[in-house]
Amino acid sequence: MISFVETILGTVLSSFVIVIISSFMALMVDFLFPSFAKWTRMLLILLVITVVLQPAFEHLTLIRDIAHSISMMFISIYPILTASMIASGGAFGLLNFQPAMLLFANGAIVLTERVLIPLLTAALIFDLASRILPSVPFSKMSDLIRTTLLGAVSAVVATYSIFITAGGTMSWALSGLASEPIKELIKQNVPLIGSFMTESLGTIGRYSSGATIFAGGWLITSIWTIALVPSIKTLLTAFFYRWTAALIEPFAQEDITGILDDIGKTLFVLCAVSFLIAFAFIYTALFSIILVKLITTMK
Amino acid sequence: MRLKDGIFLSGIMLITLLSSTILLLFSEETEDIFLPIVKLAMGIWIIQSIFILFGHSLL
Repeated sequence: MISFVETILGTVLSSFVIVIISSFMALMVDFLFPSFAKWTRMLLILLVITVVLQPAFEHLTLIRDIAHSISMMFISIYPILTASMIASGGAFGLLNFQPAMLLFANGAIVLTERVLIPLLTAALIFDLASRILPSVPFSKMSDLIRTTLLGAVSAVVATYSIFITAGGTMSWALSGLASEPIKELIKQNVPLIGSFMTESLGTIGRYSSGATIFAGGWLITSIWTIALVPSIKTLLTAFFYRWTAALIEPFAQEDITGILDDIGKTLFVLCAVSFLIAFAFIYTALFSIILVKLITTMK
Repeated sequence: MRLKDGIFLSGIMLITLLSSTILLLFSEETEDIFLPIVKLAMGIWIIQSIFILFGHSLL
């Protein structure tokens, strides 16, 4: 766990240290050569963009690559899954699974890869353009893209929960006194996507608590961990952007903190998008496990 | 030319970078004269891109 945090710290923090030092240097240059202020601002913005955009784009490509490989995996695995569903016959009717859900999961992944992540990149570029040239702003456009994406992702997750509850066999075991404070904590402290996170985690939990009977708690936990690592990584990076913005706000120029804040916001939405991938992965993994378990025990 | 090729976004980025560089070179008074031209360029680029995206292929 410590080394996991350290890898994130290593790549992200080094670029943020550069941002902090360079904004301080710009302060000094402004003090020494006041007539040079316009150039200092522009050079500082260009420097910050080149340094700071790299982790953000790394995460965008990371999530896009994961989406691509998972959609390829689904294409190869679904014929086998469907065939074994037919082969298992009556044993499978017990669980009341929805085969259409598999198609839906793959559709969500393709949507992520083809539409959501390019749109997020567009939002990032609009933000940068409006910061570089404040007289030609695109802030409304990027805000609109972000809120629309968040709406689309929440709609997809809500449809997942409809699918799962329509199945009828899954029950929600985690919602007790224990998880309520944690949910409230997440909802209050993660900006923009906090309530979305608790809702979607609740939906996945509702599904996997039904599957625990078949698969066992540790297996479920490991699947959850594998599926949620990219999301957590993205979330931590987004927080680093906002923390850096908060740290340098007193002495840096408004443009720099604005850029950091905007990139942080976009990464929060990216985290929400990565939940879609995690969702599809968890669903398919549990589905395969239960299928194998059923086939082996019913024989 | 389609949106997914990224030409629209690179055009916007290019206009932004070019005009901000030119604005750096000019003095404060010429900036006021030059800014409407930048807005004009951006408007032409956006409207043209919209026409290409949603218009007829021969347009």
